[in-house]
Amino acid sequence: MAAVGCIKKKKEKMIIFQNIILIMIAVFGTAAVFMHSPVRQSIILSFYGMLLSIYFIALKAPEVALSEMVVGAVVIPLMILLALAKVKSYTIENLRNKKQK
Amino acid sequence: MKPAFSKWVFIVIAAAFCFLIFQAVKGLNKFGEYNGIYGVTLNKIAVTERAATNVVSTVAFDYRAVDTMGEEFILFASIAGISLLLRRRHIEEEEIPEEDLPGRTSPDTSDAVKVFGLMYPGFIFLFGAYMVLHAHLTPGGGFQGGVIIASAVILIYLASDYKRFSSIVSLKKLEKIETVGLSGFILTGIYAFFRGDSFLYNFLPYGVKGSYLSGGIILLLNIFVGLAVSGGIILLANEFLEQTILLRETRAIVRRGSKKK
Repeated sequence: MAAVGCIKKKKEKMIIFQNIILIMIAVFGTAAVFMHSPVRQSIILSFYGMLLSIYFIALKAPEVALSEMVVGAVVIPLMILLALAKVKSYTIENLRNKKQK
Repeated sequence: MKPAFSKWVFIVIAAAFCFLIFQAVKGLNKFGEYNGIYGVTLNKIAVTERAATNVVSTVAFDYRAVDTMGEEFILFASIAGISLLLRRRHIEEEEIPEEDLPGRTSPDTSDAVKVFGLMYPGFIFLFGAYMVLHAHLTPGGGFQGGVIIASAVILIYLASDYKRFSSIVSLKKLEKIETVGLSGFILTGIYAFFRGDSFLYNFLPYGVKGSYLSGGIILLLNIFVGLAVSGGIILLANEFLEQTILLRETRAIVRRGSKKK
């Protein structure tokens, strides 16, 4: 009986942990939407991906957690930041100069 | 369309969407509840049938290997598309990066990043290789391991600069690696035809459960996927880095012209 009680307690703790992470995911997702600067958005997106992967681990899905970690931490921030750096080289001044030409 | 009218159209469509979403969510299972047959059956059968301890890999690279091949082609198509979009056009020319212009010094890369970039690529590469080579035993697989290997190479760029990165990374070799990975996957699938089996049938001996050589073609397919993904992600990063750092739209000439006026 004692063992069953212990397992129940562990389950309850796990559910509390899952709920905390779910709330944090909601907070970070909303923050990523309301952040105006795209650079900050990409950084917050990578944190969001990390939280999601922790959540997948809590749900006992290590495979999906690894995929999410790898994509959220490496691929998405890299591509967004590099694309932003390229876009910055197209300033309004440069475009105007091109038109004059 | 007048703004007021389009606003009303939006409100109507949004209300209909919300109603449908609400109906769909109402019909979902409870959180954590599962009443499918497929998952339960696989959990019971997969390990004894294929002798590989990672059931997810068994599903992705054996029972449903065709799906994985489709994903592989999605990645390949997107990388091919990006290479085509970001190719060097005739109005673009290579420019010396702004921080390397004479008379300008860029802030040095911080020591912490340098030490990290010196120490860790080897370890990260090893971890990625481990993940690819143990896909059939432990969580992980070709895709995850491939991206981890690619991130080890990207770390070299972070610690040094683009010149060193591009001197290490050979585009032709990367393309070959990706091609070998992709065609190896398909040829493994086609090889089953010659034995009279269906496409991507697991034709290798399954081995003993828990030993390294178990699970038949799962390991082989994972190695091919790892090769294709690592090559593809490094190609992608290289394409973006080249666009961002080296190529400019002949800006120098345009600027000179505007100054004369």
